[in-house]
Amino acid sequence: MITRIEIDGFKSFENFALDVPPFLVLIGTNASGKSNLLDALSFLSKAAVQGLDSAVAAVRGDARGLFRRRGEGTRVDRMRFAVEFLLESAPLGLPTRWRYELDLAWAEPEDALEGIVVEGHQLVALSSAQDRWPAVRGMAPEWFADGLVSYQGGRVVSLPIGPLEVPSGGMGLLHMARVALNDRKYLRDLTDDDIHVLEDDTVVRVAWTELAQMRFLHLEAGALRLSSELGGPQFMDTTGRDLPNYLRSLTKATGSKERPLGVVGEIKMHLAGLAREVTDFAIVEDGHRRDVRLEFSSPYEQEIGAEFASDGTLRMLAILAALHDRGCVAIEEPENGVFPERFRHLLALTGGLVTDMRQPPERDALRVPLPYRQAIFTSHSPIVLDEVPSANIAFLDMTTVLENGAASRVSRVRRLREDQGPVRVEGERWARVTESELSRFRAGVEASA
Amino acid sequence: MRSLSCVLVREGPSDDWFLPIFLRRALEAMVLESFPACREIQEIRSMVKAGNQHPEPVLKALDGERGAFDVVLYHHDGAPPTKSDPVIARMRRTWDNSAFTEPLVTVVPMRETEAWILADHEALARALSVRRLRNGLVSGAAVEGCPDPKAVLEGLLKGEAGMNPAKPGVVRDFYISMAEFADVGVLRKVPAFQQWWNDMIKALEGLGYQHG
Ligand SMILES: Nc1ncnc2c1ncn2[C@@H]1O[C@H](COP(=O)(O)OP(=O)(O)OP(=O)(O)O)[C@@H](O)[C@H]1O
Ligand SMILES: [Mg+2]
Repeated sequence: MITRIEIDGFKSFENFALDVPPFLVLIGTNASGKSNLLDALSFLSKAAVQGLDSAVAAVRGDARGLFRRRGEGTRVDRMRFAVEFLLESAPLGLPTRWRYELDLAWAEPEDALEGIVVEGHQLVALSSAQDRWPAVRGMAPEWFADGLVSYQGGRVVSLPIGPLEVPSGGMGLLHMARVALNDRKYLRDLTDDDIHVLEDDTVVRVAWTELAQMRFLHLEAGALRLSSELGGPQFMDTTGRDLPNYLRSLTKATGSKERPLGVVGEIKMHLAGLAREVTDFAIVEDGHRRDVRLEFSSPYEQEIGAEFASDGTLRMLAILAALHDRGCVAIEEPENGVFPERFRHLLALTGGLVTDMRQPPERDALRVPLPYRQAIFTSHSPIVLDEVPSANIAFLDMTTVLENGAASRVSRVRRLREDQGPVRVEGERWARVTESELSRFRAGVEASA
Repeated sequence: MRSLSCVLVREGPSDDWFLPIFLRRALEAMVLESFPACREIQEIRSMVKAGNQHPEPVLKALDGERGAFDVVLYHHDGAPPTKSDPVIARMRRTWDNSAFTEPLVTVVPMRETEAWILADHEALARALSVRRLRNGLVSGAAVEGCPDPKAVLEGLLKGEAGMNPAKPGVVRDFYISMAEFADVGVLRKVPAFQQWWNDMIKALEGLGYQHG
C-alpha cells in the first residue's frame, strides 16, 4: 500500500508531494501531469524491480528527456523520488511503515556511455511522529493494536548501489542491493549483533515485493482481444495483453474446492452488473493450438469470442480483474468508452474493493488479514465529483516557478475543499480547490459579460 | 400490435436490479409460448421518479410517457396484506378511472422481490460461482414462506461466496446476475409469480394479441 509519493526533477515535477489514499482519482486539465505522475510511479517501481533500462522503457520519453526541463531550456541533472508504504507482511516483528528514497543523476563519464546513474538509495523506517497518514487520512485503532501498522524511528537500511561488475541495466536496484548485502553477510562470521543484517535483507525483500505488485494500465482494445499462449506471461501488460492468462492465474491463486473460480467468480458477477449484455465468460484452454481464449455468453448468445465482444465489455473485465488482484493498480482514464451510468457503478465498486484503513482490518475465515488493495485512476469524467469522496480526489494543474531568471511551468497538486471545510489547511502548500474552479471540470464555464 | 413495451413502477431502487431484467425474460418466454403474433419485447423501463405509494406521482410520471408504453407493471410488496392491499386497490381504482387506456398489471411478490431471487438454486450456485449450495435452503414454492429472504441472500453471499454484501455493488450485481440466470419455469412454481403470469396473459389478450 503506497501512502505517499514525493518527486523532484522528473518530468514536470519540482518538489512535488502527495499523500495517497487507498483509492485516489487524479483529475485536472490536459497536460497537467496526471500521466506524468503515473509515469513517475511506474519509473520508480520498474527501476527498483527490473532496473533502470526497463524503467526508462516503461515510460513515455527517453532517458535524458525524463529530467525536468527548465523554462530557459536547460535540464536539471538530478531526480529524487521517495515513496512511503505500509508493508503487507513484515516477518520477525519488523516495523511495517517504511520509506524508499532513490536519488538519480545524469552522468556523462569519460570512460563509459552517458546515462542515468544511482547516487544513493535507502529504506527508512518511519517513526509514528513522522507518519502523517493516520492524521491526514484516518486509521482505525485496530491497525495499530493488531501490529499491522508499526514503527521504528531512526532505523535506516542503507542500500549498496550494487556489485559494480553487474551492468546496471540488467537487474532491479533493490535486487542488486540484496546481492551486495548478501555478499557482505557471507564474507564474515555472523555474530548475534548481525541479526540486523538478516533483518535488513528481509526488509529489502518485502519492499521489493510491494513495488513489484504495482501495475499500470493504459488499456487498448486491440490488445484486450488477443489470446494468450499456454505457458505465456501470467500478468497482463499495460495495454491489457494476456488478459486470458491473467484471469487464469487469478483463478489458480484464489480458487478452492468449493469455489473453484476464487475471485474470478466475483469478477464474473460484477461484469454481469457492469456490462449487462454479457452475463458470463469462460476461459478456454486449447491444448491443440496451445492458446488460451475468452468466450463470453449471455442468455441469448453463446461462445462470443473476444474478437466479437464489445470494447467496453473487455475494458470493464480487465479493470475488474486488476481491481480484484492484490497490490496497487494505476489505471489511465478508465471511463473511456464506458457508458456513464456504468462508470458511476465502477467508481462505487472500486471504493468498496480497496482496503479501507478507516475501518478495522478485514480478515478471512482463518483470521489472516486480506491482501491490501489500492487503486489510482486518472480521469476527465465529471461523474468522479459526484461519486468519489472529495478526500479521494487530487486536482492537478500547472503553476509557474521562477528560477535562474526564467519562468518554468511545473505540476502542482491540490486537494478539494470539503463541504464547508477550510480553504487553507496546515501542512498543505496551496489552498484547496474551491467549487468555482471545479465547475470548469464539470462542464466548463464561459465568463459572461 | 407486434411490439410490446412495458414500463415498471417499482417499490425501491433494489427492485430495479432484478425486476426489469427478469420480467423481460419472462415476457419473452410467455410470448414464445402463447402469442406468436407478437414479434418484439422491448426493454422494460423503470419509472424511477414515480414512487409507488401514491397514485398521483405515478400518474404524473406516466403522463410524460404517454404513447411510449403498452402496459404498466405496478410492483408492490405483498406483506403485510393489511397494509399493501389498500394501497394496491387505491392505485387500481385511480388507474381505472383515469384517462389512460393501457392495462395496469400488478406485480406482487408475497413478501418481497428477494423471495423470487431465492427460488432457483441452480442459478444461485452459478451466480455465486460455487460448486453447490448448502443443504436445507428454501427453494421453489416454499420461498414465499421465508420470513426474511433478503437476509438469506446476504447470508449466501457471505457464507458461500465469501463476499461482503455491505460493500457497494455486491448485492446489486448479484441480483442482476440472478435476473439473467433464474429459470422462468422454476419461478412459475411460485404462486405469486404465477399470479402475475396469469394477469399478464389476460392483459395481452385484452390488448388484442392473438393466442397461438
Ligand atoms: N522533462 C519534462 N520537463 C518539463 N515538462 C515536461 C517534461 N516531460 C513532460 N513534460 C510536460 O508534461 C506535460 C504532459 O503531462 P501529462 O502527460 O502528465 O498530462 P496529463 O495530465 O496526463 O494530460 P491528459 O489529460 O491530456 O492526458 C506536457 O505539457 C509536457 O510538456
Ligand atoms: Mg494523460
